[in-house]
Amino acid sequence: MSGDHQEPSQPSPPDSETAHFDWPNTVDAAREATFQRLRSLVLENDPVPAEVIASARASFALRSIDDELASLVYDSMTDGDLFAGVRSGTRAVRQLSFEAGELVLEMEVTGARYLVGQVVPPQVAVIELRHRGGTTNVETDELGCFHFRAVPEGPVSFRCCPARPAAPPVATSWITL
Amino acid sequence: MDDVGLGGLLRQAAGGDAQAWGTLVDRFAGLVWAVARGHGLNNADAAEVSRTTWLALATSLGAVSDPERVGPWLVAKARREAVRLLRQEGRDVSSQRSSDWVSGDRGLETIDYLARLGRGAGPWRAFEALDADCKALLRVLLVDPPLSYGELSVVFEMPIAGIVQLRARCLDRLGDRAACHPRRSHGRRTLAGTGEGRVP
Repeated sequence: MSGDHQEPSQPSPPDSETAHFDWPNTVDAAREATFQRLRSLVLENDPVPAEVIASARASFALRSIDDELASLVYDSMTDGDLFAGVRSGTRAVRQLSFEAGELVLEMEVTGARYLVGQVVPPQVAVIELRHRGGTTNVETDELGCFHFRAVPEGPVSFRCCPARPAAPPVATSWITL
Repeated sequence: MDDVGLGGLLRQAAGGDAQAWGTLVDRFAGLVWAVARGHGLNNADAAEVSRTTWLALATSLGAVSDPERVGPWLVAKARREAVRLLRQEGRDVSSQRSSDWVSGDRGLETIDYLARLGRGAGPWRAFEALDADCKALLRVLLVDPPLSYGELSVVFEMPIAGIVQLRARCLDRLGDRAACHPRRSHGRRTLAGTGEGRVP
């Protein structure tokens, strides 16, 4: 709990359509009426769909508690202005890096959802591609290289199980390619 | 919100308590949805953003220890996913704070849908025509249950006084637009093509 929380001025939860934010320095009644109209519109027209909530609940079962988590440390789609090719419609290659301690998973995905990757440092491992429909396994070569021909749509996660004994499995965060 | 409770929920969920996870989902599902919709995404894309965001939190539970940061963490992830989706489809979002998002097809689809709703369509069209900053802010401010001032401040990277000011400006623009919208025709590309609804 951080210290910058301003207890007295915290907005109270709305208990009806007329619930009102007690915003400091905001007394304009017309403005507040606009806000309340907008609130009603959102409540009526754009509730969170039930299947979206169900899916969020179900995602709990898909976490991998015993795996070390590899975080996304680079994504050419969102890091820097390297997506000019994508923007111009030429479907550039998307590059991704996941890291967990010393282990790095480098990947490149083409527009046709073809994925090539490498485990760094190079080593033999089984790479498990987890997706909505289940899992797909491939084995890397001795340089740690692997590929998937068609990565499914929707969120995916990669689990790297090194062949050498005592090396713990590493799972990437979920991402949509 | 009860932040002590939130911290407890995080710990319980990280320890494998599915019920605690469900409570977290109930608390923040509206927020994640609002961020995705605030980016002009349609239902299917907003659902995709939501799915990926919640999966990401499920696998990162141990890494988010400060209860005050859960909301901002989810917002940051959902924003990232929304922007990625827009870029993947070739929409130019190089300036995330541009006021042109509504000109995309998804924006029009939303507007067309809402135009059929009748009563609320005018105000909603006015809302959709607001600039990206305003839509993003108002959508998050409308989330139920609301975020605390501390959370809002982190999410929008500005002091609460700045948020209050921006909120007032956005609502004033919205009020002005809602007042003039019913006079407009329902033709496609109306909002996008004529520059109507832009801030003078």
